[in-house]
Amino acid sequence: MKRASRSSDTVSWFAIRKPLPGERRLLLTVLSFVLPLALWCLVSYVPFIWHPDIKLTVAADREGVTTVYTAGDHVARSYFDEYANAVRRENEAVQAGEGTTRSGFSARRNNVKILRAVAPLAIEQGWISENQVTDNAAIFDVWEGLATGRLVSEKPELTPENLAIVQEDWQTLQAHWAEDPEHEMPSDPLLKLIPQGRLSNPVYLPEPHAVLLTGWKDWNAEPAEGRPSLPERYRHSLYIVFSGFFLAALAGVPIGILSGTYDFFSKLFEPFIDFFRYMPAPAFSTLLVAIFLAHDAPKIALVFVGTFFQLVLVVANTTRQLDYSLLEAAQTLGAKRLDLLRRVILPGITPSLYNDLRILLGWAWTWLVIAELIGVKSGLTEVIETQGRWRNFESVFPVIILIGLTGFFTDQLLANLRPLLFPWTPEAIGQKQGPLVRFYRWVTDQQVYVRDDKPTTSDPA
Amino acid sequence: MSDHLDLPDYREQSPEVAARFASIRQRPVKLEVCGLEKRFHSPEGERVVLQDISFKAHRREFISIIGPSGCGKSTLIRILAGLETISGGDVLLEGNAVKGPSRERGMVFQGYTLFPWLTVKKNVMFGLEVSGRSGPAVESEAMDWINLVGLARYANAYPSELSGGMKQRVAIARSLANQPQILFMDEPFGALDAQTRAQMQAYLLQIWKNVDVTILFVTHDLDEAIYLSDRILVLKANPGEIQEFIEVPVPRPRDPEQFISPTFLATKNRLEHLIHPRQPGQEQARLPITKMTAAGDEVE
Amino acid sequence: MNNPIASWFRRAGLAALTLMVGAVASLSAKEPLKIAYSDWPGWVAWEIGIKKGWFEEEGVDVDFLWFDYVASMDAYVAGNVDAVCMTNGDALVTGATGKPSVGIILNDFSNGNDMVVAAPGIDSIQDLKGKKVGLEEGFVEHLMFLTALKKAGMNPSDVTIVNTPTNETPQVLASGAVDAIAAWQPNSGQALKTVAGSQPIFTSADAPGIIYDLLYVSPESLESRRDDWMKVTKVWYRIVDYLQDESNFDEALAILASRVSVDPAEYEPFFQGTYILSYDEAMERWQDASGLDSVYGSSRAVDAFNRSVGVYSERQDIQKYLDPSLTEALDQ
Repeated sequence: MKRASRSSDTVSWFAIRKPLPGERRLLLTVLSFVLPLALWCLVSYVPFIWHPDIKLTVAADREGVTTVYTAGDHVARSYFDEYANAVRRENEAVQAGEGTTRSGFSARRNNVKILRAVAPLAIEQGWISENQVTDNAAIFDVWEGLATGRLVSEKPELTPENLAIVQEDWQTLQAHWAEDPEHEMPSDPLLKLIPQGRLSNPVYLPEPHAVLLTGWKDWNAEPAEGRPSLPERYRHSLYIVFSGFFLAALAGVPIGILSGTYDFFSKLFEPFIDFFRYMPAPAFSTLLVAIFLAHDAPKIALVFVGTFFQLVLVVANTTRQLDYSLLEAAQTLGAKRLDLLRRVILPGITPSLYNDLRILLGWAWTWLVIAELIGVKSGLTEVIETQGRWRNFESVFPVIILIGLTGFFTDQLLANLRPLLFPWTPEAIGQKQGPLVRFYRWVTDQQVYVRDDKPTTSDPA
Repeated sequence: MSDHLDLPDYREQSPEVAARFASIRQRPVKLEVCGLEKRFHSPEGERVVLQDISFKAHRREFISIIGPSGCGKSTLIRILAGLETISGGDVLLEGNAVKGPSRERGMVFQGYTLFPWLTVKKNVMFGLEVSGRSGPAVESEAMDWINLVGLARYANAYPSELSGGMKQRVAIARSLANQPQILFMDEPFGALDAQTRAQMQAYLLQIWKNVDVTILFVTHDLDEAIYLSDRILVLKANPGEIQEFIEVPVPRPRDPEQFISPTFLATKNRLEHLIHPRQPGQEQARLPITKMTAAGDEVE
Repeated sequence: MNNPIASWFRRAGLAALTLMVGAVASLSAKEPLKIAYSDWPGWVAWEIGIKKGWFEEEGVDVDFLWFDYVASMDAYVAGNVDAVCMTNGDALVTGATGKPSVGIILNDFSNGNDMVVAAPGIDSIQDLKGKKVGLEEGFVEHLMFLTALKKAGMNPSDVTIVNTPTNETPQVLASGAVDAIAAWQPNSGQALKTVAGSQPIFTSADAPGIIYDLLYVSPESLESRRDDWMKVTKVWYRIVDYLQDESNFDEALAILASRVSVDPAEYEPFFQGTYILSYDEAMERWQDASGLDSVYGSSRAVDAFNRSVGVYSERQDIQKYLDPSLTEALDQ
């Protein structure tokens, strides 16, 4: 008997349209975030799943090719050997004394670049700091250390081939400097380090830890003089979204409420707005730049254009959804025009209005990315755009995630505030009120109604 | 009338009932309806919903309006409350023509229509505040009305926390707080279960006993109409016209036990006859139901 | 004909107009010079003057606005800025279709940054016979590609041109839809990186002077604020002198790279694909001559090209687009 009742308590995981018990729901909610992350980690850290590229840890220029690979670039696995062999052939030519035709500054600069090829590796080992890359003395010190065995690179380690090149170059340099007390760069070509790298996924799928670390680094990075830092950009993006949204709400909510209340305004505004909203907001971007000039105004205007027209229609519709009999009841209680608007329509629609604005705030976020690209690029989108153009996706992902998290948490916060703002809605009453809500009601001196028994009609008068 | 030979004529009134009606007729007329007409315009053309409706309601009288569905009884009461326009005729409240809704004429709807964002107390205070009053006097006055409907404990609850019967009691208190001359009730208990409805009827009679108000009550429940009313206005459909204005012969105070008294049954019989007139041969009409089982043969 | 009232109106109108123009001019005199610049090494070099405070030192108030290249020209046409950095070819297009401008500073010419990048297996322009090439029609790359064909002794009809936005050329080459693309940096570099084994088969270094990069100023601004533009010219040659000193190379590279948010090592080849003209070199190229060694000759060639591909139909008066007088006046 007992067992039977127990088993009937256990709801199937796949019961149709039946809510699962609380702990299972929580588990699934957590899983919905963990699963994609786990998939990302799996693809990133288990080498034999994908990894079609090689991410360079040591890069080299090739003669006659304008574009160079730098450390951190991705090269297709199939192409890597060809690339490395091209550099080997150049080294052989140098050893055979058939170096390049370079001379003067160009030749010396070429050698500087050869020596600096070791810089990313030295930074990773902590031997030099990021701003010492152009510090020749520091670079010489690394070469000396590597050549003499004082410094040994681990993870990534230098291949024996490259170690031999380091030693050979160091000897060449020593020989040159023996005649040149100024320690200038020689004009004769040095040997290039052969490209090295490790297996990796394509550049557009960076590893989770790289995204995390780069994001943290970018967030705290000191920006170049006169340029905004990432937190400043973030604030600027928030400013654009919320300004545009706020202005749209400021203009749109009254118009929407009037249209929903009076047929006069509905017919006056809505047909045109209904037509206008089909014109995509980005189509107005050059027009907005021409009207408002560059800087923030056209961006805010774009968010406004993208949000305002939808907002008016949604708010008008929400206003129309208000139970008409409430208005009739108020009239039989003596309410006249303004009373109806102020005491019935406004308080009656606020919970739905709040939800509408929540959803439209999401819309405003989607316009941000386009808004920040028009005129003078700015904010987080400029980072996405420029870093994306240079294929630094480790820097792009954190920004995208930041935007996502901001939207998500804003929405969650607003959703959680709802019962506090509208304690009378059935959702709020059905919900167990948290300490925050109780505290708020206590502070605002709202009498808290405590239900001590289940209200029934048999309740004696 | 012929099938219940043992019942008295519904028009026969006991002396005390006759005396009561005589005294009611002496009271001042609160509401007077003369030749009321209502037409609706639709694509198919004009439709007459109400036609030639004339009657008077006296002070503190309880009148029910019944009729077959589609007879326009709800339309009638909405016109009287000022929520619909008149196509012809007059509606006079204490001799003055009615124009639009006003706090003189309260209304209780079937769908409760409490303001969900206001507590019970604030709902009851609504009419008083709209009329420009405020302060502790208004609050204590509202509490008096809430006490009258027995909901003092729920004064700070929101409507969504209340059961249907409780909501309707709040709606009644809210209307009465305005101290209207007349209270219209449009099938107010129609959405309640049978038990709650019976309780609400008793509550309403108690409240009415304590308050000086004329009540016009639309219902489709014949028992309810007889149990509550002094007079019953019976409408017929297409077009809506007054068929009969019945004086209920059941003596007051009313009690549920009267439901089986001969005068009650006679009145009900008459109402049934008016609303569902039997046509010859109709009772023989059977629904074509296919027999599906043999197991229950002995039950018949 | 000689109605006195009409002539009075005409005179009054003229006076009012003069007053208005004067008011606008005096108003704008207080405003900083607004200059739109974009992602081209020769123009990013302005950043050195900005960072070093040389504009303040020369006593000219400037406001450099960072745009995408095409957007910067839109801003100029919309009247949002007083000057814009453009190639000599695009200045003609902007002038013929939107708003004329006058080139006053000759910054550089492209020396390898503009490329024809071919898929693996194609080693020369001749190999492109009968193949598809993705490029943005009517832009400088189109002209460069036609020049490449001419130099290789081929006709435009020998290849099929697929109109492709320049910033999408790397993906289009990678997709295999075309056999080669023509683009400028960083798109050309990206194409090289994206398609392993691809190589440049023709670059602007093979036809130096086909694309000149200048500062183009609106004629009104040049007329009303010539002194200020003179000071801007002076700052430019301070920048050029600074760049000529090889000990400044790393610092300059760092300033430029930070403007476009990229690693200096990655930016170095782009910078080297741009030939910044010294004062003397610039003066040589300011001489009106035919051929690509003169900015006049180059502009005439682009004008002919633009008309041949139907970007516009009217022959442009090259003299109106170029004004070397400020640079000449600088001669110490």
